[in-house]
Amino acid sequence: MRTPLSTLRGTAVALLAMLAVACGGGTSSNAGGAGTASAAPVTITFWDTNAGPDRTPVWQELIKRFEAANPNITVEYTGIPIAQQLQKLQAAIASGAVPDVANPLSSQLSGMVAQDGLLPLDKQFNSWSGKGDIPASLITSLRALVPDKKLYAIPLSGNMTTLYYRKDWIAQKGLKPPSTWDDFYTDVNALNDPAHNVYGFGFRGATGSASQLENWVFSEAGLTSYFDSKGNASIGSPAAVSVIQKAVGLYGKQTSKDDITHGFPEMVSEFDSGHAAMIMHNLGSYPQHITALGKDAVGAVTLPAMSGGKHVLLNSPNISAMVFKGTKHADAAWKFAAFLASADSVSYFNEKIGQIPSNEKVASAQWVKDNTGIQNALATQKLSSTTLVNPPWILPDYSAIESQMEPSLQKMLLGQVTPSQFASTLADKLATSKRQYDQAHKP
Amino acid sequence: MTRRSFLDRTGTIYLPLVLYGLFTLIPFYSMVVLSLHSGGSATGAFTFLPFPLTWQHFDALINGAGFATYVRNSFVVALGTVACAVPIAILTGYGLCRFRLRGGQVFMLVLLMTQFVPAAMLIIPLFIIFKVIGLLNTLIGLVLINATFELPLTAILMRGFISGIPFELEEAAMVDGCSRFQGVVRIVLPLLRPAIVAVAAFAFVGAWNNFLFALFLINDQDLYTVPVGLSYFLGEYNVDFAALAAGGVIAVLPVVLVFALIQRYLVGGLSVGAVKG
Amino acid sequence: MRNQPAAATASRPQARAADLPARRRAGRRRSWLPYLTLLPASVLIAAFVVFPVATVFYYSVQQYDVTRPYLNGFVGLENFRQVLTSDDVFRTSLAVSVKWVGSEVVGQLVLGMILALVLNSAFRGRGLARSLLFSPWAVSGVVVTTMWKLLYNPFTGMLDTVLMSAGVIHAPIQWLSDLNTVFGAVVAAELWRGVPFFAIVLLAALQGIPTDLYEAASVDGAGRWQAFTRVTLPLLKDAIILATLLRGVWEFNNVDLIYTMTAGGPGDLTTTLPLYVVNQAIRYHNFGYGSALSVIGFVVLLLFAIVYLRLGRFGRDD
Repeated sequence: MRTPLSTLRGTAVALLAMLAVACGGGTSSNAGGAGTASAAPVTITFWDTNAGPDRTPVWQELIKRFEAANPNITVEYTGIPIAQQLQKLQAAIASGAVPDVANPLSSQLSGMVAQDGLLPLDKQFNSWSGKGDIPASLITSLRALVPDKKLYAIPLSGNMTTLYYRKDWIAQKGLKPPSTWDDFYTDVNALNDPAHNVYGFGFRGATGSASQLENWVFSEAGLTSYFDSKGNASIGSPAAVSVIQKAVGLYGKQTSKDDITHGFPEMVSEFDSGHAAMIMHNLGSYPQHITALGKDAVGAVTLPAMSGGKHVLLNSPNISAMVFKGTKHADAAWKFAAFLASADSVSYFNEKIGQIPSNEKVASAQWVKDNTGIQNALATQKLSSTTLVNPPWILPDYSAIESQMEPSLQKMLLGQVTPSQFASTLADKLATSKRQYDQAHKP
Repeated sequence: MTRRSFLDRTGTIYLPLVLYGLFTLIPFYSMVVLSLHSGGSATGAFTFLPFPLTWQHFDALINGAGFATYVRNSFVVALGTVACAVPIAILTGYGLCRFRLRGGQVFMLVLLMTQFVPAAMLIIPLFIIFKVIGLLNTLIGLVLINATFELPLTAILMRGFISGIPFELEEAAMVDGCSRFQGVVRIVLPLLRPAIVAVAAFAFVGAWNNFLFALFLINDQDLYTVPVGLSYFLGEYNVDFAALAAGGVIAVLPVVLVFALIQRYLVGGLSVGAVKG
Repeated sequence: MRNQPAAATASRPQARAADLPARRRAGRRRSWLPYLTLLPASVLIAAFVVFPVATVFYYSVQQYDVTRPYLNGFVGLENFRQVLTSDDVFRTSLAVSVKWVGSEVVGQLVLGMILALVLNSAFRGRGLARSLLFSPWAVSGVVVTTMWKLLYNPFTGMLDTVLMSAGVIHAPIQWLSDLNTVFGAVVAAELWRGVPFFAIVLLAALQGIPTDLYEAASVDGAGRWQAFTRVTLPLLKDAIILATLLRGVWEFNNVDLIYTMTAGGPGDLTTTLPLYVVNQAIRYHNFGYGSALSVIGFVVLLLFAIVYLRLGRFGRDD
C-alpha cells in the first residue's frame, strides 16, 4: 500500500507550485505617478463593454496604433461580455477598482455620473485640436444627460434602428420595398408563408423587446416628443396604443409563435437562416446579415414613414469614450480617449462594425458612401420632414424600466395583458421616474 | 453474484445504458457537429453530418481568441480549488462526524447557509472584500472563493461518507499504538478513496465552470477562465454558434479526460465487513 | 452512511468507553482540539461569506438604486410589506421554484440511482461508459443552455427536424415558447446536466456497501428487488438525504440555465424566486427590493433545511 504520507508531501509540493503560478500571474502594476511628464512609462487599462470575436480585434488594432504613436503609454485591453458590462462597471465604481478608460453607451452616462464614477472632460476637450470635427449637437446632447451639464463622454459611434428585409424576395414577388408603414404591413402579409416555415416578420419577444417596440410605436404613431408638457409619457397616448395593438396583432399570424422567446441571437438566426422576411435591429448587425445572405438579398432602411411621407425616428445611444474618476493617469487616459475620437480611429472603427461615425471629417469617406445601411439612415435623418426624438436617457433608470416591461410584453403577446394596460403601465413608470428626477434636481 | 442471463443483463444493464446514453450524447453530438461544420456560425442550424468539414472554428479560438490561455487559467483555478477544498472538506467532515461537537448540527446549517443567497447578490461586497484583502485580480483569489463555495457540498458529503466508516477501525489502530492522526491516515483515508474522488470531481468541475466570480473578480484579460472566454460569443451585435460549440468542445474535453482517469477509483474499498461485532 | 449489521451496532458504545486511550477521557482541557478541525472552514466562511450575506440583509431594509442616490435610504420593513402583500410575481415565483426544485430533485434522483446501479455492475466498457455518461456535469453553463436552445429551435433545431422527417409531428413544436412544453423543456435540459451529480454520489456510496450483505440476502432467498429495497436503500439513506438536500438548495438558487433559456418567460411562467431576485436587483436596479426577496428566500431555505434534516433523522441510527 502506498504510504499516505508521501502522497501528502507530493500534494503539498504541487499546491505550492500552483500558488506560485497563481500569485505570480496576475497584477497590473501601474508604474509612474499621476500626470507626470510624458516621458515616464505608463500603463492604462481599457475595458471594452461589448467584447466579442467581431469587435475585439478592432479595438486591439486601435490600441496598437495608439501605442505606436505614444511609445511611453501601454494600454491593457480587457473585454467584458455585454450582458454583464453594466453590473461590472457599477461594481468597479462602487469599490474604487475602476479602469482608466471604457467605451460604454451614452445611455449609461447618467447612472454612472450619479455614482460619481466619471471624470469631467470639459477642459481637455476644449483644448483638443480635434474638437471641431465632433458634431456640436452631439456634444450638447451628451451634456444634457447629466445634472451638472459637464462633458463626461466623447462620442465615437452612432447608430440607428434599422428595418432589415429580404430585398430578393420583395423583388421576386414584385412588391414595393417597405418605405411607408402601409407598405410594411402589405409586405409582411404577402411574404408570410407559415406552411413553409417562413414568416413575414421576426418579432423580438424576449430580452430587448420593449425597446424595439418603443422604436416601432414612435415611428408608426408619429410621436414627436417623449413627454408632453404635463410630464406624461407619450407612449401612453391613444395613438400609441392603437399601434401597439396592430404590432401585437402580427404575433402568431405573420410571425412565428416562437418569437415570444426570441432575443437577439434567435431573431438574427431566424432572419439569417431564411425563416423571416423582415426584422428590426440596428446598423450594428448589418455586416452579419450580409455575410449570411449576401449583399443583394438584404435591404437596410430606417423605420418606415407614415402615410404623409414624414419620418419620426427615436435616436439610438452613442458608443462613447469615458474616463473614470479613480484613474491615476488622467493625462494618458485622456490621450487615449482623444485618440479613439480622432477622425482616423473613428473611420476605422465604424467601417469595421458598420455604424455611423461621430465625426464630421469621416462623413465623406468612401466606405461611408458604400455602406447602404448608413447612407439610408443618414439620408432619412437629414430630411427636413424627419423628426428625431431623444429617449429620456437623462433618467438613470430608463433602461431598467424598459427591462421591467419585458415580462409584461410577453403576457401581452399571450393575450393576458391588453395593449392599453401595457402602455399605461409603461407610461406611469416613465412619468414617475421623471417626476422623481425633476424633484431631486430642482434648481 | 450469480451469473445472469443475457436477456437479464440486457434489460437491467444494456437497455438503460443505451437509452440514457442516447439522451446524454445527442446534445454532445450536435455540439461536435456544429463545431466542425463550416456553415453554422450565424444560425447554429442542425445538420446530421459536419460536411463541409472545417477546423476554422477551433483555429479561430486557439490562435485568434486566446483560448489556450483561458484553458491554462481554468486548470490552475480548478486544481487549486481541489487542493484547497478537499483537505478542508475531509477535516471538517471528520470533525463534524467523529467528535460530538456542540453546535455541530448548527455548523452544518451554517455551511448550507452559504448557498441560500443567489450568488449574483454577493458580487459587490465580495468585490470590496477582495480589494481590501488584495486578492482582486488574482487567480489565488479565485481559488479561495471557489473553495469556499464548494465547501458546503464537499464537507457535508465527506461527513456522510466518513460516518459510514466504523470508528472501530480507528480504535483498533489506536489500541495498536497509532496516534489518532496516523489512524486516520492509515485506515480511514484509503477507505474514503471513492468519496475523495467524487468530492474532488465536484470541486474541480464547480471551479472549472464557474463564471460569475471569474468575470467579476478578475480584471486582466489574460487571467480570464474558459467560461468567460465562451461568453464572448453571445454578444449583442455578433453571435457565433459554431465558435461557441467549438469552445464548448475545448472546454469539456479536459474534464472528460479527468473523469476518465479518476472513475476507476470509484470502486469498492476493502470489504468493510471484515470487522464483525 | 451507516452500514454495519445490527449486531455490531450494539457493541459500539461499550467499545467506545473501554478502549479509548486515557488522554481522550481526561481531555476536558483538550476539548478545544476537535474544534480545530472546523477552523479552516470557519476562516473561509468568515472571510468571504459572512459579510456579503450580511449586506443582503442590510440592504433588504433600504431603498437602494446605485444610479439614483436621490431616492436611497432606510425604509424599514416597506420592502417586505410590498413583497408579501402586493407582489403577484413573488407568489408565482415561489410556486414555480417549488415545482422546479421538486421535479429536478426527484427526476435527477431517480435517474441518478438507476445510472449508479447500472454503472456499478460489471460489464465491458464500463470505464468508458462512466466517463461519457458523467460528462454532462462537466459542460460549461453557457454551452449547455446554448446547445439545448439550438436543439429546441423550431426553425433549425435537431428535435423538430428529426421528429418532422420521421413523420411524428407535422408542424414544428415551439418547445420554449409553447406554454405547455416550456417548463418540461427547461426541466429536461437541467436534468441532463444534473443527473451525473446523483450518479456519482450514489455510486461512491454504493462502494461502501459490503458485498457479503448481498450474499447474505440472496442466501436468505431475497430477489433482486428485495435486495435493493432491504439492503441497498436503507444503507444509502444518508447519502440520498444529503444529496437531495444539497441538490435541492442548489437547484433552488441556481439561475443560469433558466435565465439564458427563457429569461423567466414566457411571462412569468418559468420565473423562479432567485431569477426574480436577479431581475429586480440587477436588471431593474431595485437592489433593496431584491435583497428583501433574497432574505425571504433565505428564510424559506433555512426552514426547509431544518425540517428536512429533522424528518430524515439524519445521522442517527435507527
